[in-house]
Amino acid sequence: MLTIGVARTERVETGVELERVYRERGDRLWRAVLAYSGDPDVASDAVAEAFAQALRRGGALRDPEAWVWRAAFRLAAGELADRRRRTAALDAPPRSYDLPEPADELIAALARLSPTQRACVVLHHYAGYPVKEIASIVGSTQAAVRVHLSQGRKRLRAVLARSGDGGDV
Amino acid sequence: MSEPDDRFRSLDRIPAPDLWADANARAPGADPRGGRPRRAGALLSVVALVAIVAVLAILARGLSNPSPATSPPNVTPGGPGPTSSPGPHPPAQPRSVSGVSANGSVRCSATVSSTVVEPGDTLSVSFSIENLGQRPVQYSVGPSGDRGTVRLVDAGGTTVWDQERSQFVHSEPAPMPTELPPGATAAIGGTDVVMAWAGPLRVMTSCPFGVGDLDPVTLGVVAPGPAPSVADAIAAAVDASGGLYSQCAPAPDGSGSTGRIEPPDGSTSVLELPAVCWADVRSGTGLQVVTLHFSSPPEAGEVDVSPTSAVEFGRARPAEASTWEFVVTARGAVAATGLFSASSSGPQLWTVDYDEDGGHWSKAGCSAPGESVGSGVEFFTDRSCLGR
Repeated sequence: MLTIGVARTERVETGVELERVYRERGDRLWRAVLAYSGDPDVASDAVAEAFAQALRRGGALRDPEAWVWRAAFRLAAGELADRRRRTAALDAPPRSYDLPEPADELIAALARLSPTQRACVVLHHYAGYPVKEIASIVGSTQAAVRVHLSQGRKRLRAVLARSGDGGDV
Repeated sequence: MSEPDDRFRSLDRIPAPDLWADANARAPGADPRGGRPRRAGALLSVVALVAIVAVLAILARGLSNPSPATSPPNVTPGGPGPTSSPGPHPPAQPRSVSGVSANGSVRCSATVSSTVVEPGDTLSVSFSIENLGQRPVQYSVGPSGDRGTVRLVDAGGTTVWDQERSQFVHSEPAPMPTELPPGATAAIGGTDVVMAWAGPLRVMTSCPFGVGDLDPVTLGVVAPGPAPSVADAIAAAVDASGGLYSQCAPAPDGSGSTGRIEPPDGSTSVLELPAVCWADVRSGTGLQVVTLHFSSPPEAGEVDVSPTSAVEFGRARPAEASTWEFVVTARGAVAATGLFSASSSGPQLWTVDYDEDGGHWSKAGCSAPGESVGSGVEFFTDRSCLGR
């Protein structure tokens, strides 16, 4: 009984902490995953599922915010991979949403980066994460993240420059 | 928009949905080993595999060539380098080879831009496929798509350049496939390489769709004149650096000299880099391959850089190390690879990135205090340049 009571208490405290994380950083996380995935539905599904999994884990998370960011990006990456497999033999579904300018140009340009470059660039330039934490989120090494960041910035600049909007990234 | 975060700040104008209720609705009573969580676990495995592939690709690249990519040639006529008059450039003599897949459905061809080149020339190899069958063929173009590969092999059978090890391999998935109708032909990309070896060489090409290795193409490498001396070659490479090494030229024998690396645009808003600069020289018939290095500050010693290993600068901050390879012949100096550098600004300084393209430098961006590895050179400033 005591163990269950402790677990329930931890779960409640974790829920409060996770709600605080969501209220303070949830919007930014959603937009970051949107920039990464290019799809609001993928972003919403990944963020909601990441918080749901965090809630299920109760007090087992030492750093709920870091955990949720990592989970949301990996869930989105998985969804994109699933989608690529599903659409390999089918026509790509038409885009059914509009994004405001100039964010749509940025997101379209980000889509030209490799998934890992895109995740690194978004996490660094939008979410403000340092290299060490990006390495943890994308499951890579710090050295590799630095290369992805450098290559990603360079490629993003080139894509934006070709689109005629300067590309000062 | 002048700074990167200006662009990313535009994302803040996108309204975000409130997902907290959705998250709570998904959480209670869910079996973490079933349904969505199980899918999530599988997805995590896929992502982890992609990450491992990406790291291995970077490692493979680093084992063979420390530079991130081959840059367009940066020909610098004149300068303090070679003084002998080069002969006429040999005319391009393209050559194609092809093969057919085992089932006879696809012919793949590789076209080499010329069978006679000079050191410093850019050799281009392009690939195309033809649908010989009665049914459409699905193909995709891109780094992870259906592409041919190229190796250069010298007369002794040693591979001197391997596309798979010399170029950055993205971990991105294959792009959406395209349908090639019966009888149609399509280009599937290719590669460029700056010639940094004496000949003769063999161009070894390999095709996708089960076609495999094509016949080798013999490549004559004709030097335009005698190789410049080591001292002249280093001077020509310094001259081709767009002014980057003008205040930090290595000694004529390539040994280190102390000087400073200055921002190529003369900017006074960034700090110049006190540095030790040196050169490695590889000699061949009619050519010298000069690799320029700098390491800042000089007290850190001659620090080598690599895309895949952490750079040890000691305790000095800010610190930076860089490498850049040139091919030098009687005709002049050509950048064989892009400049690659690693830097650490320390906790206080911001980093301004400069990129080189065809002998011209431009300010490419700005980074918060921290570490950086990649193409271009970094200068430091005590003023925030991110505009946060």
